[in-house]
Amino acid sequence: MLAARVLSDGGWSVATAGDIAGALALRPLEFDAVIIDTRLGPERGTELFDQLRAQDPLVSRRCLVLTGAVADPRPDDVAVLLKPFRADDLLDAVNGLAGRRPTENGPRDGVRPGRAG
Amino acid sequence: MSRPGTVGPPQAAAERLLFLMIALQERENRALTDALHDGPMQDITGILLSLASLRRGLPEDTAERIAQIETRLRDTTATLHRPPPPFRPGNSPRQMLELGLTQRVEGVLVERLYISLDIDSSPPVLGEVAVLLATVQLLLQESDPIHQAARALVAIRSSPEGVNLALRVAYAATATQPYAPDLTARASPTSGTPAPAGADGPGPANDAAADEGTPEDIIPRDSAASWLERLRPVAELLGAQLRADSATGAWSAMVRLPRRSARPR
Repeated sequence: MLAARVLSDGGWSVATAGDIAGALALRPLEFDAVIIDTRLGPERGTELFDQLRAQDPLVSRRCLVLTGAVADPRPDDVAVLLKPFRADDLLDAVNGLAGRRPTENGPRDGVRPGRAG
Repeated sequence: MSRPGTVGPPQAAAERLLFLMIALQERENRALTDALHDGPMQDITGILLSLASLRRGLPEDTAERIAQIETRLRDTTATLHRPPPPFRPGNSPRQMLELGLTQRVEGVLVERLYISLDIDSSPPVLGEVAVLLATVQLLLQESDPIHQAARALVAIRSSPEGVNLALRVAYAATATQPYAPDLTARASPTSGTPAPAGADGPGPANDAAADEGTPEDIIPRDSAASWLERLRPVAELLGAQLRADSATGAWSAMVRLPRRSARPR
C-alpha cells in the first residue's frame, strides 16, 4: 500500500479497503477525503462513488478518482489523478480536496479503497 | 455484393462486415487500454511512489535529482495514454467520425488528412458511421498496403435520402507508383499466366519481396491504371465508384449509402 504510506508520511491518518463492500464498511462519508481507484478488481470504483453520492450529493468535493486510462468513464464533477503519478502529485491532490496546503501537517483522516498503485 | 461491372451501395452482408470490422477495432482498443492500465501504469506508479520513499532519506542534492527522475518518468509514461475511442457513449456522429478518421486514418494510412463533414441536418446513425469509417480505411489500405498516401480528403454529406462519401487520395510525387507486387504482369514460372490482380496481399511473403526491392518483383506501370486495377475488387464490394487522374496519379472514390426507406427494392 505505497499510496497509503505516502499519505501517512504526509500527515494523514489512512484507512484502506480492497473492494466496495470493504470501503463502505469504513463509513467513508465520515472521512475528509475519499480516494477511489476506477478499477477495483472485477468492480468499478465509479460504482462506489455512485453509492456515496446517493447518500451525500456533495461527496464529490471530497473524492479523488485514480485512473490509468484517459478513456475510463468517470464522473464529470470529481477530481481525477491520472496514473502514473508521483507521490507529490497524490499528496497535493488530497491536500487540495481538504483545503490543506502541502506544508501543513498534523493527522487527518482519509480513506483509500482499492489496490495500491 | 454488386454485380461485376456495376456500382451500387454495399449490400447488407458487406455492411455488416464493415460494422464488425469497426467493432473489432473498438474491442481491441479497449483490451489494449485495459492491459496498459492494469500493467505498466500500475507498475510505474508503484515505482514512482517507491522512489519518493527512497529519496526522503537522501541528501538534498541527490534527492533533487531523484525528484527530477520521477517527474521525467511520469511525463514520459503519460504520453503512452491511449486517446479516448471514437465510439464512446455520448459522442455525436461528428465526434465519432472526426476521432475515427484522425486516430485510424491520419498518420496510419495517410500523412495528412483533410475532413469535410456536412452531416448536421440528417446525421448518420452509428451503423452508417461505422460503414463510412471502414470504407475509408479499406480503400486506403488496399490502394497501398505499405506506404502512406501523402494527402487525402474525406468529404461526407448526409441528407434524408442517404449519406454520400467522397474520398480523394494523392501520393507523393516521388512515389506515385502504387505498391503492387501482387499485380505484376510477370509470368508465372509454372503456368505462364499473369498473377491474378488482388489474389494475394500484404502478407509476409509479399512484404519480404517489397523489402528486397528487386526490379523483377515490382514492375512500374501506368499509375492511374494501376490504382484502378488494384482497387476495383474491393471497390465493387464496397459499392464505391472509382476515378483516377492519370496526370497526377491521384484517385478518388465515391460511395452512396441510401437510407433504408429510400433504397430500391
